[in-house]
Amino acid sequence: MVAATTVRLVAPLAATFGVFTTLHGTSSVGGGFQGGVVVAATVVLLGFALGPRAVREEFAVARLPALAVSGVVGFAAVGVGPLAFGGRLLELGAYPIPKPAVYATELIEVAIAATVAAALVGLFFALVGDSEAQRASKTASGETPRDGVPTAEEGDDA
Amino acid sequence: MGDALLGATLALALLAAVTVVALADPPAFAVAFGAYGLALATAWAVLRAPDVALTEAAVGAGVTTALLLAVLRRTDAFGVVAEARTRLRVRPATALTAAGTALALGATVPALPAFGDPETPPFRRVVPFYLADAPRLGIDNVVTAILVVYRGFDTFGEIAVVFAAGVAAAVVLRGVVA
Repeated sequence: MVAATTVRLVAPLAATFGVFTTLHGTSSVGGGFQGGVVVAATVVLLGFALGPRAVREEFAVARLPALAVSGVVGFAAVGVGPLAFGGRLLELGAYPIPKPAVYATELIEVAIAATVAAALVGLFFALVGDSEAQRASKTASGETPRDGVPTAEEGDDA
Repeated sequence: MGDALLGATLALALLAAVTVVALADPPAFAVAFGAYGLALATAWAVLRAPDVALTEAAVGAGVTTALLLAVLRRTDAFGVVAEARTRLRVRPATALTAAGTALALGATVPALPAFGDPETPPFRRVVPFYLADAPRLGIDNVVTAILVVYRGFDTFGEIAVVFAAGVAAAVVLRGVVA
């Protein structure tokens, strides 16, 4: 109860700090990796304190692979883009906008943060998500049903 | 003063590492592992690498502890692990091998250049170029500039590896579900 309340208070601040770190990677300490892991740690902390089932739906954990893919594809797109403007691969200075390196870097930082956060949060929920279903399906003797081994039917002794 | 602080944080990290091995109860050694991550993050901060310190603090002290406990809960191994670790005994041969390897590696440390020595090859040519060119591009954080602008291809490889690792782990874990 104390943990849930504390985490609920702290999580928005920590997540905001994570997003701030990502977007300010060019001018202060931080960047994509740092912001991504801070956001992932916040979501994992929420899942830890409030229970995975509640957090799973709120954060659309099933959509996380799409987020990870969009990070990689976004990075590749920003890297391949300069070819269209006469530059080389990942030559960020070739974009015809003012301060091209800064804005292209910030886009890449967001992509990095998306992939890193999606990978870490997805890993945590893949590890923990189904333990409640396993617990619920334990037989009366307390054994966990093993994969592929047929358990005793409930109606056998009827 | 700086060396004393670094020595203190590394000693704290060593103490936390020994505590992780010595404790038997899974939540206890998970928390000790988080303390180890925090001591390492402090060491990075003392060595003036705040980006690495931030990442180490979030991953080592936050996510790793949660993953450790999640795995133990998933495999229902709290009791098994606690019992196995209570019966843990270190064999003299193991301790000697570990100490010998640590000493052998430690003997190579004096051969490394001094920390931040400006005469080493990276500091003589490449680093002054990065330090001069990054503000010209408008990026104040040189570490980010190196990661994305100057060595962006390596970072792209890292992202591809993170993505592949996450997907592979998720696929394997999905196959394990009953």
